[in-house]
Amino acid sequence: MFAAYSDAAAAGSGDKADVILTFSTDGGATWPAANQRRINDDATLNDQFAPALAIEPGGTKLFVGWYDRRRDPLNNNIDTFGAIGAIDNTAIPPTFTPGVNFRISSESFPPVVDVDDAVPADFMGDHDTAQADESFFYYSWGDNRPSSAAQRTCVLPAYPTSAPRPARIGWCGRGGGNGNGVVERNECNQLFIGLVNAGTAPSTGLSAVLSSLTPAVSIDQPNSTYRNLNPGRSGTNMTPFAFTTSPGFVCGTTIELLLTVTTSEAGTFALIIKLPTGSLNSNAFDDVPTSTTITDNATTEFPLTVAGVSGAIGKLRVALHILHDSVDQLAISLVSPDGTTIDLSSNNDSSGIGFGLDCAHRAIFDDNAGVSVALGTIPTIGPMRPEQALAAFNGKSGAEVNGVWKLRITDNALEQRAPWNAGTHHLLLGTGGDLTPTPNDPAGVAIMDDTTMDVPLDVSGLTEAIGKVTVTITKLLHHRDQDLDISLIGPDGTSVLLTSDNGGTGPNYVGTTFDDSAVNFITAGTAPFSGKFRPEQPLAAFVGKSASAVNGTWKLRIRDEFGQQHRRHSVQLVAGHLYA
Amino acid sequence: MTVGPDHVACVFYYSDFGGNHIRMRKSSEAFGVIHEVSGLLNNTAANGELGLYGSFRSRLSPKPSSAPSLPV
Repeated sequence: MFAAYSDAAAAGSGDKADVILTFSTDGGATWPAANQRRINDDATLNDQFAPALAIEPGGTKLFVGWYDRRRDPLNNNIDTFGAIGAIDNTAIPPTFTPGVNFRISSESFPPVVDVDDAVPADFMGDHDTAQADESFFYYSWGDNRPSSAAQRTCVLPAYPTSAPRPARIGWCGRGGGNGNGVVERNECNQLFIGLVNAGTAPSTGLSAVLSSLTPAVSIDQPNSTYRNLNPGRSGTNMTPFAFTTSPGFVCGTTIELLLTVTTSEAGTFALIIKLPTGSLNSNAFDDVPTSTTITDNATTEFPLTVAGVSGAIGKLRVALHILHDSVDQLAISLVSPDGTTIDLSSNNDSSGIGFGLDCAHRAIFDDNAGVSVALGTIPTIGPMRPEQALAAFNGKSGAEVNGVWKLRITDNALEQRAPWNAGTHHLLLGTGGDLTPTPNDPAGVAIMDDTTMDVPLDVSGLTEAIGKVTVTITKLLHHRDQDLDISLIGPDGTSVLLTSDNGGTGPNYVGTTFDDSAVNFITAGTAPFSGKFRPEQPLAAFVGKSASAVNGTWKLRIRDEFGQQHRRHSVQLVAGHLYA
Repeated sequence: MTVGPDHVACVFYYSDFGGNHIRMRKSSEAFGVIHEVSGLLNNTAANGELGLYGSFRSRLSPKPSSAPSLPV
């Protein structure tokens, strides 16, 4: 008997949710701790939650599907992932071995709530479920992908229970393969994939076609037949499959291949094959430039000497720390010794004040990052994808690598502008505006128990669409923050929940700025809340709204959910910033 | 809940008695015996709320399933 659930990782780890599976071999009488398995195999601290599970009728394979945020560095967008584990009921006692994780959803989607009036406003994923028959697993989930008109699509993919056996890697003797049994860049490999007949009847007429789901991997020999398989028996492809990795293939990444299998009895179905690959030798070069000044309206180059790299580059990442009060004035590029130049960032993020926090917490440019530097707010630390791919350096070696690299920074503005957070409400791109603060009344505006109140914030004179919104509560006095829900509501009625029931029995919000770019979530903060926090719902909901939808009265809605405390609470000053 | 091959119905549930737990009761015992499934969970929030980003409810609801070939 099996049970799956989500639980936080060990205290202090920062991982709020993993998917755990546990099992009993005595009819549920006991559930030993030794039988607990963490199903998600990611190395992130991101969330995995809302598991669904099913066991095929033969009782030897178990599927778990779940919501997974591992692909989003900001831990917001969701995918569905799955794993097929093996139950060995011939062992005494029976055992369970988790399977490798695979992505199921083809598109990431954000959390979406409060869409259906028929269900509570905060439900999402409560009814995700899985089932199985002799041949397939079936998994359905609530899907909020932006490309879906319905916003709530139920998807039913099928994953055959006849999962492949581990693949064996051979050497096909062409294209630089070295026969070491490890897949590396720029080599050809043979591949043998075993199939198991997990059904109850013989399987005949078996054939398979292999295709690649991984860039930089091509298939040289895609076709093979298999011998007939009786129930419970396994067989390997009669003709070796063969594939080639390109010079730009990055070792250490997992290769995903699609094996399309046809049998006389079950028709055609697909299996995903995952292959581990070799690892990169790591070379890190660090330097503190002799000059640390970025000159206005000029180009400055910072040299970095690289030496002793013997192989070709398989992957390159750049970490840097730049302080500048208007990073949108900067064009940053990396130049290799052979003159290859890659644009890391050009004039991005009007609200940014730098890259990285300090030299110990630098911003990282990485081709595999989930966020592009060109698509919005620059992450404080990263990682982020550069404007041009650093893979352009892959394959370079010798004098192309060993020599003087340059970080080239061009400041294309004559005068520095004041930082946006200097308290003077400077607007960075033309026609932004401020939400007019409430009167700085020493006594504040009273917040009554068990009551909802709106603090008006007037905006006028904007002529361009919103690029970003932040909200600052200078002083909100309340003896128990968990009583409070606070939302920002635009003139067109768009509502974004900033905080709900956070802070426990602690008091007050003092100097609290809600900003989608903040590192810390408000849900993870402690009262009194002070500093920058990511709100419960993204303020990006206001981005793109036109001036006509922005000019008017905004509201900071404060709801106190509990009554009869007879204490005086107040909010003294609220300010917001709209960036066009 | 799940029903085993022996026709025993097993109900799994979240419990916050003495800390957060996943527990189970069986029809063959008239649902009178509590079986500890998870032990004490790392999550300590009310209702087993995981507190994930996005304003949706994310509680510790267990999902069970029975294997037909395991001892029951």
